Amino acid sequence: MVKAETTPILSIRHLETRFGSHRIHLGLDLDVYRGEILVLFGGSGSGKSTLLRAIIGLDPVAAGSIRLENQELTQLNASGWRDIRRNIGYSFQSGALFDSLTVAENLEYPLQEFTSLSREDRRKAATAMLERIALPGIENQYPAELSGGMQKRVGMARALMLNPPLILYDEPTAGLDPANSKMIIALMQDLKNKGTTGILVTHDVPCALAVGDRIAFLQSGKIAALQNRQDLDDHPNEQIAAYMNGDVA
Amino acid sequence: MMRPLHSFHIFLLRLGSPLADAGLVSFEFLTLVKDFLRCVPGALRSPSVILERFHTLIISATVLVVITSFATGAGLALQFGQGMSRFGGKLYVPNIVAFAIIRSLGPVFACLMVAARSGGGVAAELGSMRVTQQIDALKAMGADPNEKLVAPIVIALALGMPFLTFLADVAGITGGLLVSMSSLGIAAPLYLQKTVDSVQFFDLLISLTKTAVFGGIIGLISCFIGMRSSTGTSGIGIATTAAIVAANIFVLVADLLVTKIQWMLRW
Repeated sequence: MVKAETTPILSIRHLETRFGSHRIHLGLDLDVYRGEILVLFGGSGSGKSTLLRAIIGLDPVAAGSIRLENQELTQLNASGWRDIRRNIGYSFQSGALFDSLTVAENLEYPLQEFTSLSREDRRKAATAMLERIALPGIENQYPAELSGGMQKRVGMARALMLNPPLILYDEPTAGLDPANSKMIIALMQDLKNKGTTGILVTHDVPCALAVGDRIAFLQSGKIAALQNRQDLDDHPNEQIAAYMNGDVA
Repeated sequence: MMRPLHSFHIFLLRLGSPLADAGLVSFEFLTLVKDFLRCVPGALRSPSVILERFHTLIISATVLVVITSFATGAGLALQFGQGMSRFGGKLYVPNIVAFAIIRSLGPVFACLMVAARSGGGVAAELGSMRVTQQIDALKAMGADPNEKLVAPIVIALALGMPFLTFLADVAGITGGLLVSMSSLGIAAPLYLQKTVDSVQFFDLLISLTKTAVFGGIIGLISCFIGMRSSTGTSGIGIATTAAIVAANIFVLVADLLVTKIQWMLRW
């Protein structure tokens, strides 16, 4: 839950990003507090996913500042990024599983990259994670053998393998059936209850309302509205309400 | 890597012209070359990955290269045998075949075949990984795609091309030998003696050395184009075609330059 006096875990100031000459973010400011899930709403092409990619360094920043626990990310070199990425999980919209590796090998990859665990211990951790996401027994299957929903769950599980304190969720329930959506929402709630901070990009209003602590609305390259989840029911912000009602594309 | 855009990069962006695009592409390619060189020590720590690439990119291309070079040597012997018989010069066929195959045709055809088969495969693989965000996933997990993907491919191609070129040379000369024996009436010992007489060790050395460099650059071109593939399945197809065309043009032009330099230096 958000506390005004809490120091943000992630602080973004005057962020500017662009693709070629097209500007995506124009002086965007945003704080994310420890333990909360901040939901990012916005129309298609408003720069929600690009913001996540900028936070983890997949897209370049043209100007501005991104600070993660007082560490400036825009000035990092390659080894600095490696340390940071150990502490940020990224759940890709498509799952982004390595299709040449089995499910277990996909889950073991972050452990192989960042820890000195033995092959046996890595396999045990992968098996335990598969049980946690209710997909036991698929260790030796390849991603192509899984359904879209299963791929997403395994992709999210891979982002959790190192227990990162911050997780970026990029449309985790998009295109999923209700049962898979429910499982993903339960997993995010479980992570939040354990103190993991999250930024959730989604178009799925029920999912956002179920797990979000604050709702931000991204428009014209900036955060146009920001509201606590509790206040949304009684005094909804006009822009956020319009988006949730489908009045904003 | 998330750093503020390089000032040179921004300068080029603002120019907004085809010249700027060409400058950007060149700048990014040179950046890839620099990143590859930085990643070589790390990639060498995982020899199994390089060996795996060696198998898929080099060993699997062996039959194709051998058949191509064999047919080229045989065709060369037939054409020159037929043409030079008119002037009573068919005994020069072994010399011409050996000289042409070892100095130019063997290396060039080996590189063209690898550029088409393995380079195209690399561009398609990396393009597919880019489209499905697997390269982003690698980066997001702290891994360097240049070390995990690019460096093993480039090293395998650079190490493997001399091996394939040697096989191409042997296959080409063998093709010439069989045609010369069957159609031109040249005995095998004479053919082989003339082959040895007409080619120096230095010729072979230059041939193998240049293909090591060509192989590495074929790898860099294929990786570069594959990793810049636009999204969508058509983007992968376009990247694959572009990689094959670019690598083939590079091989032909680079071999021409090397030949010209050899000519000027009388090597």
